[in-house]
Amino acid sequence: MATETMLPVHEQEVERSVFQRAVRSCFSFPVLMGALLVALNAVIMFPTFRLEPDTWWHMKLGQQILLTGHWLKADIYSFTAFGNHPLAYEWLGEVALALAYKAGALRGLHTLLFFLTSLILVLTYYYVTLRSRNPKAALVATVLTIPLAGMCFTLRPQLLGYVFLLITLICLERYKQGLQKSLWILPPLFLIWVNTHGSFILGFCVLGLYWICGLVPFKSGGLIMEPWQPRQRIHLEIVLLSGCVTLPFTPFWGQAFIFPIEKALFFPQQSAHIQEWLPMNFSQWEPKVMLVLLLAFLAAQVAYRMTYHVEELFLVLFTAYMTCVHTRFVILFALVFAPVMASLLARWTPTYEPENDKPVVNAVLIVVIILAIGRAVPTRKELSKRVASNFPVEAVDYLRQHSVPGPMYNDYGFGGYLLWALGPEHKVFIDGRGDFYEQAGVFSDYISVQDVHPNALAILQTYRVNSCIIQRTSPLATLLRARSDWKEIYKDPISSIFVRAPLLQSVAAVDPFPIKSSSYNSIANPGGGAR
Amino acid sequence: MLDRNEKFNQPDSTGDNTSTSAGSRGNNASSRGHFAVTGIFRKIFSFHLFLAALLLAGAYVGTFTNGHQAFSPASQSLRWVESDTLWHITVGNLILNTHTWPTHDIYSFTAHGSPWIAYEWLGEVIMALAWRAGNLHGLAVLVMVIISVIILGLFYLAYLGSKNTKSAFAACAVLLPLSAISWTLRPQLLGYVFLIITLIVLKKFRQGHTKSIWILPLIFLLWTNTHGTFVLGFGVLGVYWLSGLKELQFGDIYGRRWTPRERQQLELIALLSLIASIITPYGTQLAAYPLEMAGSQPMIIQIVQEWQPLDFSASYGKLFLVLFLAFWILVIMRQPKFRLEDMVMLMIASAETIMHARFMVLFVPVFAPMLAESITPWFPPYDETKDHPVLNFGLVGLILAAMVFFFPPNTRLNQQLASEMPAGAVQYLAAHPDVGPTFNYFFWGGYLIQNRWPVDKVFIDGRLDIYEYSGVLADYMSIMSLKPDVESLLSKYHVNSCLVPPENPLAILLGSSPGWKEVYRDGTSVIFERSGTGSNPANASAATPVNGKIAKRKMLSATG
Repeated sequence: MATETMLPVHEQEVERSVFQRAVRSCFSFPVLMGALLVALNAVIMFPTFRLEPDTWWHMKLGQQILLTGHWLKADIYSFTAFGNHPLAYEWLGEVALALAYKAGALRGLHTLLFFLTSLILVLTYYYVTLRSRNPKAALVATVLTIPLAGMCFTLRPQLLGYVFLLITLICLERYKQGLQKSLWILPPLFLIWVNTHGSFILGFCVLGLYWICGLVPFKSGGLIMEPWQPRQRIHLEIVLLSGCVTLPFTPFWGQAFIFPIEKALFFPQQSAHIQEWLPMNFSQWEPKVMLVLLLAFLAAQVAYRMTYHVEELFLVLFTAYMTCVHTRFVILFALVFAPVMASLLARWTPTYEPENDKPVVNAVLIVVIILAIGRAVPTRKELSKRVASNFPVEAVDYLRQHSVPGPMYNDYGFGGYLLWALGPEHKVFIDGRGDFYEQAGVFSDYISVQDVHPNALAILQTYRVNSCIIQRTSPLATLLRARSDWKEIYKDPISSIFVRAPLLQSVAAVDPFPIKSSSYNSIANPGGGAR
Repeated sequence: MLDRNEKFNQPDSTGDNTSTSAGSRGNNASSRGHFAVTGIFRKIFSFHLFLAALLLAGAYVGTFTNGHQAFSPASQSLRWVESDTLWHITVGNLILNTHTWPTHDIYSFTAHGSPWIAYEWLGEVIMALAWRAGNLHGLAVLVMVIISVIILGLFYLAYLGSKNTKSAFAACAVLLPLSAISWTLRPQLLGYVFLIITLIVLKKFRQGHTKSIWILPLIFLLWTNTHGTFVLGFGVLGVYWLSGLKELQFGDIYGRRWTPRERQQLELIALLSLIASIITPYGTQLAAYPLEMAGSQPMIIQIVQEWQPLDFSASYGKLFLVLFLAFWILVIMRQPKFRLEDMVMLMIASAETIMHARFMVLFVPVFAPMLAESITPWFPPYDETKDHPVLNFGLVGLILAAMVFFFPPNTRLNQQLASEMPAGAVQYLAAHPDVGPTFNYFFWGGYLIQNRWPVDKVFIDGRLDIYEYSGVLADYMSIMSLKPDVESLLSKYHVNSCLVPPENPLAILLGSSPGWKEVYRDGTSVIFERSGTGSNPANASAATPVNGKIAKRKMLSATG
């Protein structure tokens, strides 16, 4: 009897203990630090609305897939590459963007952007904690790398690619630490990834690197390779093979797999002209942060004789190289560098002691942070204003109200927005699908026109361009303004619209095309964020 | 850095061995003399000399050819001549002719009369003397001599770090392309020489050779009057001095404390060098100039290519990255020890080079000895017994003969200069003195000063400091990037004609503007003149240059 009466009490205690543990872990200090990172992200992301020209066409393609239920087989959005075969290799990400817009228009996009960037920061923090085993040092390292990661925080499918890369790194680290099951998440992850963004190649590279670096034992000074156990190795190989098997499961079969490799090798124009593919500009402050961190890390090798696994050192140095050569890779550097820096910082940072944690205080602070973020969310009106300050919103309104003769040449940075707002009825000259236009030979023509090469006007003639929508202060605008055969019919702080003068006279009776110039000099850097 | 026993030139022991060997064969004087000559021969034409000659050949290829087509006359380039080279020569000539130093601008119509000093006057005088001696050929000889001194200095510096000529050679060879990006004939090249000498002297001083350091005040006297890089020299001196103030051991970084005598000597040298740096025709102004530039010329730093961050899309940028990162992998694997001053200078030089490509001149000499030392274990020390002086002699002779044989003659140099500079347009301007004031392409400013001054003054040239202060540089940038106010800016300076490359956007704009007419065009340049003003195009045919043609108002086919 005594035992019968004792059992429920014991179970109650066990239940209470489980519940307490769950509460303690939910409101632990590392979780509070994660919430702080999200708050920091809000401070960075809320005053701006980091939409890119690419965001718009991604959304349009996603919308089109949702509407029709199939993938574009021939381009319908441009008059320069009309009918060519575009590859919507990021279709899943595009659908996600379209759904976010459908759910809440600009606020939906803003929420998605904030969610994804916060997720990246929290996952980075978790990964760094996992590697350094010190949540405090991990927080400092993550915060220090935010300026670098933040350079890539714009709403595009590649944000999802970064999330997947972090999940891959976390799974591999957990696997190395003996948690065998976590690796099985990778094949389904690759299935989603290959349909979302070309960065899945990086995932395979990381997986392959971990595999190779565990094949043989090696030690030289501070550099080591620890071999996998035979069982571990087989497990890793099976996962790697399973990941490969998922590759053809895209609407484009093997093409989606080949595309990132093709892009890296056969699209030199993009690498030479698109900002994110250009080398890191170390005259800006964020790259200087990278420089300081990297040099401090290198100096620390001599001062502290750190020991590295080959794979982690390779990842740090490789991403440092790639970042210097192509700015776009800076976020990868941030992701792989943060754990290394945290391991260094852990020398001076006291470790986290769960028994000294104060879950109630943490809970209160987490709630306060959530409420503060909720209050700071920008309104629809603010978001619309920010979009209008970067994209030719007013010019598009003008085009909706007036029959401007086409085909219309447009600035690269305006293409996505025009495609979104007026397509497919209005066809663009070019948009952010640079690889697609480079294949069609349009991209190099665009560069010649935009940079006012000697054949600029001939190219416009070749494409039978009758009007242009371009940045108001661009060299091409100055050229067209000086010519008697072109007429500027519209201008605002960001954009100008030009029409061939003879066509202007023929349609003037229908529409006098008055110059609209409301706030001509109101902003210092018109169109600065458009490209 | 590490103590190794190899000597740069033949060690005394080698001579001893040779003497012993000779003594065993006979004691007569003639035989002693014979072996002494042989010893000297072996000493001079050692493997080290062959390595040095190879580096010089590399430098020659880097300077006078397009690299992969070495020694092919067709590929020889004139990239060592900059637009700046030419105005420096003009200023040097002016100083030599008048024996006075300029204090205000006389070369431009945009900043005419603005205060300006020839802060690199000594370098300019040297360049003017070379020009007087042999025109472009004289300049080619000068540039090759200076570059040779740089390369040999770098080689010796790398040797001082590694005590192994093979690793020193390997380090210099891989760093040669990085060093070559600064090889244009400007006073700055002499500054590079002084920097390497300073580093050598300080390294030797650290290694216990206390006499050579007395050369530094003289170096600083010349350096301050030659180029603003003397500030780097003081920076290096300061780092050495600070690094020896305390005994230090921090992981693999160590600092050895100066002995009181060493420290006093270093401080005295620094003081004398400081005093020497104010002995200039402009007093303390020259010493203050580099600091002034860093603080008050933000636009130059923003737009001038050599002040911009290192271009990592270029092959030299990638080479820099690969070498730098590979070096750190070696450091992690080998865990060598570094002197504090070396580490501090490497960090500063790397950061500055990445932010401003111009600082490659500092990075290369700082990095070379450290790189050489880190790869030394891969290279066996020099074994004198395996050396072949006769073979070395033959190979060195071949290298030098090839360099002399392929050295570009004056006629070819002039042709190359004419193909890169607006030679035809200058003839047109000479025939039409009423065309100006002429807006000119920045890179041609020096050429125009050399060939048209004082008849025509330039809009802009390489003396960007005065143009930044007077606001001309900002206006020039607006004009060249076709900002909406191009026309008003040209009117602001009463510009009557424009001389630009034919493919330049400004040329396309002016060709499209009814207010301008094209009066001259060749493959290199085009001149536009305001419509209804200036010279009569009919007269222009009289001055048609060799390969140019007087263009009538030619509509581009693009206009339809």
